[in-house]
Amino acid sequence: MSSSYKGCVFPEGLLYDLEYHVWVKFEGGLAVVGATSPGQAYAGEIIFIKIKDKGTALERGAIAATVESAKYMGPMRTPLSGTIVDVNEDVRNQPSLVNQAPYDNWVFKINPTKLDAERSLLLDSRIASEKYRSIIDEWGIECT
Amino acid sequence: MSESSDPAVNLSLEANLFNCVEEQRSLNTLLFYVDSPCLVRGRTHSTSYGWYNEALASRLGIRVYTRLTGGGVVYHDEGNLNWSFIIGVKDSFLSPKRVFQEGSKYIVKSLNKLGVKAHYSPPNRIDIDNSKVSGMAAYSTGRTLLVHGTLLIDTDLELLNQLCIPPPGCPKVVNISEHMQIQTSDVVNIILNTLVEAGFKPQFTDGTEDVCQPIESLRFDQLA
Repeated sequence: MSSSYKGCVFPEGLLYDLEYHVWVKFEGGLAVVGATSPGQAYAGEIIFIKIKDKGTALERGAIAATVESAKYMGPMRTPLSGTIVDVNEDVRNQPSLVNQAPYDNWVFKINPTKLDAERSLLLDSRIASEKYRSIIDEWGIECT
Repeated sequence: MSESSDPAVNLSLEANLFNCVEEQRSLNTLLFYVDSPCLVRGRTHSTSYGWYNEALASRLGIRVYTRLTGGGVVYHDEGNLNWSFIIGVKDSFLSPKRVFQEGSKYIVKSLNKLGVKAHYSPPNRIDIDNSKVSGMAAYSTGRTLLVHGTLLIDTDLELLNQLCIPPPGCPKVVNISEHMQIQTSDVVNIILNTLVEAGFKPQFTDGTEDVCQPIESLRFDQLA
């Protein structure tokens, strides 16, 4: 099940960061991170993504990847502090996967170091969907 | 306005000014520069962006430089004015369209004041009628945004068209000089006047050794 608005879906079972427009799910203590549906729609067709190397330590909000679309190179930020332990090579080789299926194509995995403090900043599907409505309207987008 | 026509110097200057703004050691900045003939490419090689004629560039001794931002390959010479806005941004999540629409706003307004019917053309061009007079690219850390572009005033378009392989759907390029007689300095002045009229307060510095206050760079104490 998932919530949706203007074609933008928010699957249940994931958590969402509306400041950095990423989703998170936890697998065996690791946080798996990808781009939300509205986030990728707003960015446009992604033609290049450079992800920080495994072993990189980041604080919440730090740049975990740089994404290029329409000649604009912008940041993708980590919602959690921790160390990058894996990057999705499929996404690195074919960045448009993030546009095609944002929830099926994670970008990086992080071993979180401040989860107790930072987990509360993530929203569940229902709340994220509600809060995203005004953002989607402001951006003037629809997700395909 | 950079005093150098060396593309390596100007691109380094631009990158250093970006760091200065990012580290809050400098105010928002507008940099102008004119390069000697060269090609400047974005960080990514994508078929979406076109490319350049490598054999011809090599034969002519045209060097290729890489810039901070995305996008394809552009040709610079003394007839092209490069402009770079480097500004602090509050909203860390920007769309390309918004970046380029806002980034081109004062350039378009300035050209219109000159009597040139320029307009922003999504996603990242400034056109006169249906011809391209400026291409833009951008880079952001989420805290600092660099939007820059070319402005074809009196560029060698014949050489440009031989060197650059445009992406699909790219319109033909045109010089502003085909519409009116104008010098680079006139264009710089009208852009500065447009910004002043919009309420910005430029601080023109003659520079120090500190790279954050380079020679003849223009700084703004507010930028919308």
